[in-house]
Amino acid sequence: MNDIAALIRLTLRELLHQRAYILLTAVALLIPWLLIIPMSLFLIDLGKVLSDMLFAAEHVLLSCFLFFIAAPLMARDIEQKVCHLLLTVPLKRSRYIIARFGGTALAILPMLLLFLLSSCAALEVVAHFWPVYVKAGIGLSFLLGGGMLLLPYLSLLGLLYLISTASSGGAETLVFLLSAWLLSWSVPPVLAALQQPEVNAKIPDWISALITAIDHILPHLSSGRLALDIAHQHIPPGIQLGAYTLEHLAYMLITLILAIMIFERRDLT
Amino acid sequence: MIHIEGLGKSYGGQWALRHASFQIRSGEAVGLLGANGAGKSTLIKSMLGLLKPTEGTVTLASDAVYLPEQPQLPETLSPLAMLRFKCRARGWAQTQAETALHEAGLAQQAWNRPLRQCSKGMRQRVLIAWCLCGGHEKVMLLDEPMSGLDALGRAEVLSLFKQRRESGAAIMMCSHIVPDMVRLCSRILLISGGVIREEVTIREHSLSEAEILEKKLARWQ
Repeated sequence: MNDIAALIRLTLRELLHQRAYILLTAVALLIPWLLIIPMSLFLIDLGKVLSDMLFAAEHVLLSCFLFFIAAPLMARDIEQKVCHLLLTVPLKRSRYIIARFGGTALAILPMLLLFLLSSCAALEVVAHFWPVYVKAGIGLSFLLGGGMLLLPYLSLLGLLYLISTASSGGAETLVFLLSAWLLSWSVPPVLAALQQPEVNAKIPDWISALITAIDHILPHLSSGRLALDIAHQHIPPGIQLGAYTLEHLAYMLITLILAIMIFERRDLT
Repeated sequence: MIHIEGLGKSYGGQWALRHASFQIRSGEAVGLLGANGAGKSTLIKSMLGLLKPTEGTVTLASDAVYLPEQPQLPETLSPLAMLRFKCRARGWAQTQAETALHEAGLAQQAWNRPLRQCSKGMRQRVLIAWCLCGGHEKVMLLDEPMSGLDALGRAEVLSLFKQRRESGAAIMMCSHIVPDMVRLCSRILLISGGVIREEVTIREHSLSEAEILEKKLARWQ
């Protein structure tokens, strides 16, 4: 385990010292307080408005991490032969992928934690000054809901590793990651709309069953719904939370296993 | 130490390397000389398993240390962090990292500097230190190890590799700098079009040998 732990540590050190990461972390700290300005333009439900804006900001931050920090790391490793050095330490290819993934996933945590704590504090301040429009305890709910949003991004990170192990470099990785990211946002709402009772009544049963099956199989990588419900202080039943967690962890594992299988077989030119 | 038998690599039916067979004994350094695209890096990467050989077998007596040709090192890391990673991964004492950096001749004030602030020559010394770190590997595969170094640096590094050779390491080295190869190696394999064309034994380790080699290489191109 020495080698995996050492590479996780190296990856963390490498990412945490990047200027892009430091900038993103600074933004994560500031943005909750800056969002109070546009929030104050609204007249009612200020707490809900701010938590929605913070939720959107969290999506943006995590997506930026994925595109500007995680994707270039693997692309550079392959394109610029850093992985040649690391693999000949020696390190098995599977262990290299696991350690790089572990390091990248861990690197999200400090940034996310700072954002969530800063958001929690901003929401509590808003609740203190506008108690009529903001429910008490909204900060803590956002902390929980925002934390749950990490799971779909871990699935996306797994998908990024799958893409980058098969790709030839940065450009290819970014194009495929962008496509997967866009699909993860656009497909679930379309599938949800197709499963509405009015639509179901007008299409054959087998198509309806097919759409439902696809909806169950495809990962809901943008599934902020459940996390947003928690942030809005509507705690879903435990079984739903468990299913949500299990779904994303399963997708993360599947994509990582596939990434390892591809990386084991590929030529590193 | 190194035994290669009928090694070949093809990309979609196009052979980049074919029928490579040779042995390198303990305490021997062998050079691989060829023009760009001759198949030198393909041979070394196939030996390491970075490329999956299409045919043939590779037997290395121990873990191999590899110095790739001009890799872009992680810019935010320091030389010491890189070397310490290797020590941690192998379970070696951390002090070996410092010993290797010292041995490679990297100025101490650069040890904790981010690699983006290091010159090309300094980065090459970090790579040399990476190779020397630990000193447990008995097989060394070096792809253009002198790249980016000045004449004095090349001489220093060459003497380090000579020490390793004398302590029993089997070394394979690719380089475009023929005089350096002649100084270190006892045999040179001339490679062209993915095929090892000729094996030349070096007796004098002199500049005249280097000139002869260059002429022989030109004949195969």
